[in-house]
Amino acid sequence: MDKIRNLQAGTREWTWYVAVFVILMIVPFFGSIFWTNLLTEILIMGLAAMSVNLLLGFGGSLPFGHAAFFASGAYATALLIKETNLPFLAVLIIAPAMAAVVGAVFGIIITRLYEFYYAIVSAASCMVLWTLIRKVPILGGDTGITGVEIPELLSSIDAVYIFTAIVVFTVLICTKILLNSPFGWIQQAIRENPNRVTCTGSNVLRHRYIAFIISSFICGIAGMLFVLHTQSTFPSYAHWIKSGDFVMICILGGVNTFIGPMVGAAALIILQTYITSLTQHWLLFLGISICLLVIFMPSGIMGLTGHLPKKIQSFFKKSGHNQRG
Amino acid sequence: MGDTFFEIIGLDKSFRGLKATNKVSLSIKKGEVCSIIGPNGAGKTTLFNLITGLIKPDAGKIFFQGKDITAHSPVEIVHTGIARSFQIVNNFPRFTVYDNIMIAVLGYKRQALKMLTPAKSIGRNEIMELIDRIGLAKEANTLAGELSHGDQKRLEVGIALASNPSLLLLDEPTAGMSSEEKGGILETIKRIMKENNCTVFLCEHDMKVIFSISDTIWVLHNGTVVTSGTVEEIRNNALVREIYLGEAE
Repeated sequence: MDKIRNLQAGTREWTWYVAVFVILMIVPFFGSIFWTNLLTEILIMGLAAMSVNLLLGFGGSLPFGHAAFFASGAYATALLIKETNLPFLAVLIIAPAMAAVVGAVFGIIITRLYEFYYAIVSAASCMVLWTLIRKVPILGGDTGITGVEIPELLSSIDAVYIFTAIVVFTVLICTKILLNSPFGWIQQAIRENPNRVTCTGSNVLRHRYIAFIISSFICGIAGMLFVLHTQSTFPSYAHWIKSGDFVMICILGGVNTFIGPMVGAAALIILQTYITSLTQHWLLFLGISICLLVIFMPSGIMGLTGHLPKKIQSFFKKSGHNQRG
Repeated sequence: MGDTFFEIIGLDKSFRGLKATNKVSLSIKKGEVCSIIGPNGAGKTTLFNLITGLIKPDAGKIFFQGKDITAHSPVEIVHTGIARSFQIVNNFPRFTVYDNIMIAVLGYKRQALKMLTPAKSIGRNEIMELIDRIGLAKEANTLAGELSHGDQKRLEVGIALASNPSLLLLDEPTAGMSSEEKGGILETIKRIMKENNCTVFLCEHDMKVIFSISDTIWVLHNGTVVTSGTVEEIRNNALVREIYLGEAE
């Protein structure tokens, strides 16, 4: 039986985070623009996937409509910058908040449902937003909004990258704290056995609803960062296929781990980039490689970190007794 | 009604026309062990589900400490002081014993929405003490799903106790246990009753268990209360022998 990994980060884990953060910070000084761009995208997609994983891996639901919140954050950022004179800092807070508001509306229905119904209704609500975005003139229709001007300070690729890395790491730490809190534990308990949670005096419906809003807020942050990165926003951000990407990233990286979505995002985007440069039929190869990854690594890439050393150990040391994780 | 600790009046519930409980009325005095017996399908678990608000009755009222709790949600009912264990083991199998109890303590303390303090810092001593009391101190860090059946049943009682109930509902606490384990859990239940000053309402199949622990027994048959009384009265009741004991022997 899989033990739920203790989320309480030990000093070793924090050392890892700090090390990765430092490495990411110096990339722009040594790496090429290509890598800076790629990493920005990985961090943003990873963040969006992490918001999905808050409900998927840690909540036991299947949210197939998070593109709606990604798009909400993106469109709110673009609109607020283009159409209002709000200070940039205010935009950075209001835009994700708008995504949270959309999440609060959609969540009223979605969080009452479970399993397939949850997945289908979340995907459907995402498509509602996609249709709306294409029909409302101020949102730019099919062409989206382009030429979003961002402050001078963030106008270079490196600056956006560093800003993204800082925001993503801050949100990561907050999410970690959240998952270790009573809120996070109850969230995981709901995944395991919602009825039992009810019978111990916690309101499951309210809990799922609040988690949904928090998750859409985080996804909104990812959308906002993406607009800073690309300076434009398109209706495709709200398409359910985008939601599918987020879910796929989670599964690829490992839904039972905290950092899985980040790793999944890196794997998917790097894979995508390399395969597209090799062949026209990249979708075919991408699909096959993802199928293989999922079949041979059902708990994702992060699942290997626990299993691989153990497998090697047991290979050399056929002592035969079961270790308890 | 004000002086009765717990009372059910005329509780009706049918599933697709089948009457699971039919005008069930019963009452429990504070501090006693009250048992409900009846053959399979008599409506015992349905009755527990009705009391804990998991399903709503078609008709009838439930009073607890003078308050009408019929319309309360399951969560509200836990907070008024009624907690239950389940017949089928119903825990968080991938959580450790400690974490299982912790989830229940967080619920009882209404801490579920706290987001900044680490969960593990809340009620540590209290949780360890409770784990010790249900006799699982050595297993605190074992996954619930890896416990023996008997220990899972103990954990089941522990999760219910974490809500600090004044009325504890135990749905077949000894089902599937060996007779040694049964003795052990009965001792635990008796001790807990004294220490927590709570009233116990249990349903059971095993007549030995029932007769050894109960103060009052209610007999349920086809969803209706047939009779009630002390252990001696029930033991000597011809009707009970016929419908229940007769079947068993």
